[in-house]
Amino acid sequence: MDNIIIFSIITVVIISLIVGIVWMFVPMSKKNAMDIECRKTLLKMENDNGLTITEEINLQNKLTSLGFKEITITGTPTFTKKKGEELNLKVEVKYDYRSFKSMFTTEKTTSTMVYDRTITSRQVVK
Amino acid sequence: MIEVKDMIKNNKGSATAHVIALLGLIIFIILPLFAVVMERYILYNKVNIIKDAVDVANLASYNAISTEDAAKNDAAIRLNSEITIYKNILAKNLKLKADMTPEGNSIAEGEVVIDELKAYLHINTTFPITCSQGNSITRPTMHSVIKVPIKPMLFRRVILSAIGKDVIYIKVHVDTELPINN
Repeated sequence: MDNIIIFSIITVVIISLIVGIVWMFVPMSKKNAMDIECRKTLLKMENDNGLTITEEINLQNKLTSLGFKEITITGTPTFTKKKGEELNLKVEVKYDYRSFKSMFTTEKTTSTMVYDRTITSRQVVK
Repeated sequence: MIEVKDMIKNNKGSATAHVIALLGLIIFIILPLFAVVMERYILYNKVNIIKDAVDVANLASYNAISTEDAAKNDAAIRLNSEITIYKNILAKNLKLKADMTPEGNSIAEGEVVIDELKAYLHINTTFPITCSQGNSITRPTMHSVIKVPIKPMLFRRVILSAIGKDVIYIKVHVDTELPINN
């Protein structure tokens, strides 16, 4: 009987440890997903000579669907820079996730994630 | 001797022995295993962030070469121009100072070294060609190799500090195909 109790306790401890560790990967994986979407937009900016309204809305929608909130997108507007001049995209989002407070209790944590990249314009402005 | 034999034969086992065995399992197998996986994942993420910055710097250095410099077909002028722009954009995207040492919130933990930067263009290359890192290049491409010092986490940090080191150098190689619709 003692063995069963001890085994049960240790099993619960192991499971909570594993769940806790796996949960630590969630925000990192979200940041990865955010970087991928922002990168796509940055490459479009390079091609389009800046951030178009359509691309801004697309990015906003994609980030919202990934679970981010309070999304702030700041990008160099289109056709304000000549070929070779710098274009910047800065995206700031907040992401809520649960993290372990102690062995058996969790709490809501809000993390701020930022993507800030500079590229140069490819298009020759006529 | 008889007592030991009895203990071995005893199917019930000892509760204390089970606790010690399971704690050993957690401390010496499960936790290190997860630590290794986690460390690998964090490192993979950092390398991805650096690769992204290098890729953008590759594109930027090509885009920003002035039409005049490009037309001169002078490799020295072009390379000089490319390196300046490449350094500038890489520094901005990796949060580095002008001397390529890190600012406060940079992913790099020391001076970033640019090992190679080369433009494979139609005017200087017969395609296909193999770059110094073994990649086959079939189209105009910017090739770059940088070394970024990174502080490892968890176990690797402990092992490194035990041998008196602080950082590991990650070599990042990116070949960026250049756009053709210029």
